[in-house]
Amino acid sequence: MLKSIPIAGRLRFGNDPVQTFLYMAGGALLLFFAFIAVRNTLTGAYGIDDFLQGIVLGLAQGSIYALIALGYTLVYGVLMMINFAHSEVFMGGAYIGFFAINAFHESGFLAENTLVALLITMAIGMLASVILAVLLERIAYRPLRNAPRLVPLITAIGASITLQQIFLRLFGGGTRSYPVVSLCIGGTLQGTTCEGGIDIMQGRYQVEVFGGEIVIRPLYFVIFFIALILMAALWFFVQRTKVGKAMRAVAEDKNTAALMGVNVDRVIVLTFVLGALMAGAAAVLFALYNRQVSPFMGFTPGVKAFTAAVLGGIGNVPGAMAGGVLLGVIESAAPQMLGLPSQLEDVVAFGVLVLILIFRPTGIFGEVLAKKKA
Amino acid sequence: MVFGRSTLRLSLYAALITVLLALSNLFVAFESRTVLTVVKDAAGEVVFAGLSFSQLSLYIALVAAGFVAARQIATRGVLSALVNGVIAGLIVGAGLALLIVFTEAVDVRFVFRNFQPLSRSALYLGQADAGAAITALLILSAVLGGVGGLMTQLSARVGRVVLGGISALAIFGVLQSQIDKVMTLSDAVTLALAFGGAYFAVRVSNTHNVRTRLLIGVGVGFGIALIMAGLAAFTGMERGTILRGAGSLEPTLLNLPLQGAFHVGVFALILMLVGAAGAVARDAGRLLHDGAWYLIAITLMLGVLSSQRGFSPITAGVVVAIMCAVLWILPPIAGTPNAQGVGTTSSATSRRTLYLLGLVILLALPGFIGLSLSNTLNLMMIYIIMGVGMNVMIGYAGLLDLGYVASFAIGAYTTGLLTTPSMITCGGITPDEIKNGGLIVSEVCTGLLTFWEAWPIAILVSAFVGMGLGVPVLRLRGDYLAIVTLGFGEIINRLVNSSTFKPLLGGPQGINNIPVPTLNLSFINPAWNSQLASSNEIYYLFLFTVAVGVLVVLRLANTRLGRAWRALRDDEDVAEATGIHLVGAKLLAFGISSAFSGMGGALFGASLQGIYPNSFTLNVSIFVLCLVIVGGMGSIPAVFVGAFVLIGFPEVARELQDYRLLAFGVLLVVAMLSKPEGILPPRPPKLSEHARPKTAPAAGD
Repeated sequence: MLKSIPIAGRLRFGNDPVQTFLYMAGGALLLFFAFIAVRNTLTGAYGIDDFLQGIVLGLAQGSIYALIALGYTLVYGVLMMINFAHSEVFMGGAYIGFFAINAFHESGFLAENTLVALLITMAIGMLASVILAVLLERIAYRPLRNAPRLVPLITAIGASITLQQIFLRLFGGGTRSYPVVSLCIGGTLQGTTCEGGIDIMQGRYQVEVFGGEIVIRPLYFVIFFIALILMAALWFFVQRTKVGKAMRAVAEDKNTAALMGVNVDRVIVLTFVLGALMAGAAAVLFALYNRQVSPFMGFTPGVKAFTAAVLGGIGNVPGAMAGGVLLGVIESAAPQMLGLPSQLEDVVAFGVLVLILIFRPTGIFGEVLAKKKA
Repeated sequence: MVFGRSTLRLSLYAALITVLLALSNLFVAFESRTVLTVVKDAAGEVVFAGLSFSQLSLYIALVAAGFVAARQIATRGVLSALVNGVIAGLIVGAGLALLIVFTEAVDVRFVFRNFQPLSRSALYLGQADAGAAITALLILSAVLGGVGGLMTQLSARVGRVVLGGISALAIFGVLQSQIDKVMTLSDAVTLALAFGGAYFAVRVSNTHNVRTRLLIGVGVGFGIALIMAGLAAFTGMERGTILRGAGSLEPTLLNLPLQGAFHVGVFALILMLVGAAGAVARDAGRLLHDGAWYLIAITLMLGVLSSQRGFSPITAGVVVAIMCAVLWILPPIAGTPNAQGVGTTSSATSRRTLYLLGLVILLALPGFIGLSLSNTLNLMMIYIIMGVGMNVMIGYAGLLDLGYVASFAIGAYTTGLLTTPSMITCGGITPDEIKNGGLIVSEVCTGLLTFWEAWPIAILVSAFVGMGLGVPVLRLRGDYLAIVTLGFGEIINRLVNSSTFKPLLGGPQGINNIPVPTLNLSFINPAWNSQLASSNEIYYLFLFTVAVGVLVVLRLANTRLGRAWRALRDDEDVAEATGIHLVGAKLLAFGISSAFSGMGGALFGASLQGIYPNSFTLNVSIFVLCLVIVGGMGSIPAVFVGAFVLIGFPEVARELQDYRLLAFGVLLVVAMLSKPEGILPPRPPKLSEHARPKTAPAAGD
């Protein structure tokens, strides 16, 4: 079955009891959620301002997921394996980034030349992620290129635990905090407050919309735009350069690509490098926004980013970008809309994953994926 | 050229790993963990300075570096091996020396939080200042690297013996404080004499009839029993207390002091069984044969340990010698049949004899290992139950479940909810109020159901939830299953932790006061009504569960369903094409493995009498996965070995637990890279009569 499955065909009931059952169960669940959401909106428990707040928050959160998801999707596209250790590549970037920014902070460089220091931190985080990813590929994945499917998957899990534990053993268990950074645009920095300008790192501004108040941090937009630039660069690289073309060829068919003179091993390393670059940037952004880093910080964003990749259609680069942003928005808007306690926030992402798997396993942007791939 | 090209690369890797270990404080943290105790002579002078675990790991790292580097060029002769080993050792030593210099100059404690000054570490080799320490370290690393290099030149058999000796030293050194006083030396020697005597008597007699062999074995066992009983009677020594724990003050099961004919009879029966097992061990297949010998070796080593205080070099020497001797006797591993004829034949009677011996040992275990080891044993049992279930998923059907802890938690919480006294069953009063009123909760009211009624319900609930979880991913590849189950395991953890369900599931405090299972057989004998409260007693419940579980899974393997699983593991499309109902087979795999996990969870809750969300983290799933993978996917004996190595050992060696997950991660990667089939891979499935080629001779089985 190497053909795509048309929508009409997928909605045909009756010939497959499991599928029918799934659609019915999933549909019931969706209807239930819709009912609660509508009720909450009608009773005024959830207003348009809450929704806007959710979107603003979700865009920032989601663009970080999107950046991580790109790593999953690129590797999946080329090697057809879930790189479980990608969340640790992300964690490593944030951790090494912490040591860099902390050094800048102590030396005063961060206060003097904030923008440059932040950029260098990000570069260091990206570099750390790239080193981790390349090591991972060389040591853990390359020898298993032709092994049965389960084998690299288990290796990836083992590598993930190993990396996590190495960081834990080396750098200690507690969380560490990124220093407070203020970057004043259009004004002068007086202590920690930005006089007459906008503090794009620390500032919080109350904005009135539709009769309600929402809190906006300029950092949300900074994250969103940096992510957008990175993703655009990646898209350009994959679509418009010769190396990107080789990459797409390898994703299509490794053997044929090799016959066409593509160095498959090098392309695979490059795939890991690209994914790690995105993850490293995401890690530093994530840490600037959440401020806390710990050896276990990668797990939750990792699972969510994977969900985002599936949401957009795994193996599909623009899909991962859109999926990440979409998941971020859903995640920050849905719990409140459904009246769930904030403790259960993470449950939402998982629920989304299950619903996609029921209704559209190939993802929303359903690139035509063979059954073997999905 | 004497110098191997790969030496440099490998030694740099080794140096990097060792330096990282040093930065993680390995060489300081275990300085207080003695492997060999200090020896002083009569005048109080220190004769032997002792050996700490940190020192031992440093030495092993250096030898291993030399070995790994020299193995690449092992065919080039002794000199080359020596040179490369020395170079590798020196490179690792230089790395550590640089670390010493660096950390003397710079404070790295901010970055490496676990790091402690190396002057207290094994790296200083007892020297006071850094310069002397570095010199000593470099000399030592050159020597040990050279030793490692030379080890590559040993024959396979000698190499195995040396490796076994070192492992025995390390393992018993780490465990010695926990496991002494398990068995008296006289018992151990008696058992070993019965087994070994029968083993060699049969070899000398050269009979091929199994029945004759059994008779010889029983005779040897009986003879030894007579001699020992006689010795005990003559010398009046009370120590001939076979299977009686010298450490546990009140042996509960087989308290057999040599008094009275009945006890002598049981004593003789045990020795006869051991003798019979020794006599037929050669016919029982490699696994059982070697296993029995290792068991005898362990018995002897435990006996030696118990007779001594601490682990002095002499005790250690004896222990290592026993291990080496047994390894020397055992034929090499490679290739099943061999010159000595072990494992060429395998008769059912022989296997059954050894299984019977194993069963007796398992039944007798809590009687002599003491309470704390009993707890470890019970934990291992829970993991074995879960591992057996996981084996159905991953070993038989090839489906990776990373949320195994979910069904474990569901089983535990279902039992907890159903059996714990609550406000509903106590007539509107909460158990806490009863407790505050000075009454014992269990006397005032009980839970909704007893453990025995709740257990099947818990198993069913877990099975159905497991199946339900499998449904959305039925049509997708295994990777999705892994991530969905991973997410689900986390979700369950969040849910039981959350405030939403706090009134029901207790939030972070969990469920307390879960009653222990009560074994009420008073309809047979009014006195037989006991709570399985102590870990020694509940062990039998675990053992029973494991036995049933193993039987079920073993029988399943060769049914239509078992073959269907293997088929879909190998290729789903082909399996479907041959008419296998994929949906049904997969759902049954989900259901059965979750049922096992739920069964274990129920036992877990009931045996600990309380459950907390913290017990149900991702780590549980990882541990189970590890023990199945490392042992060998799809093989049941492997689960036992895996549980012993991965759960039992770190549980006893408490200090090493910090490094446990790290070791597991590395183990998963290394196992997949070097030996994806595990330590004990499953036997290839038997073909039925029809499938066997008619002309070819039947495969030796």
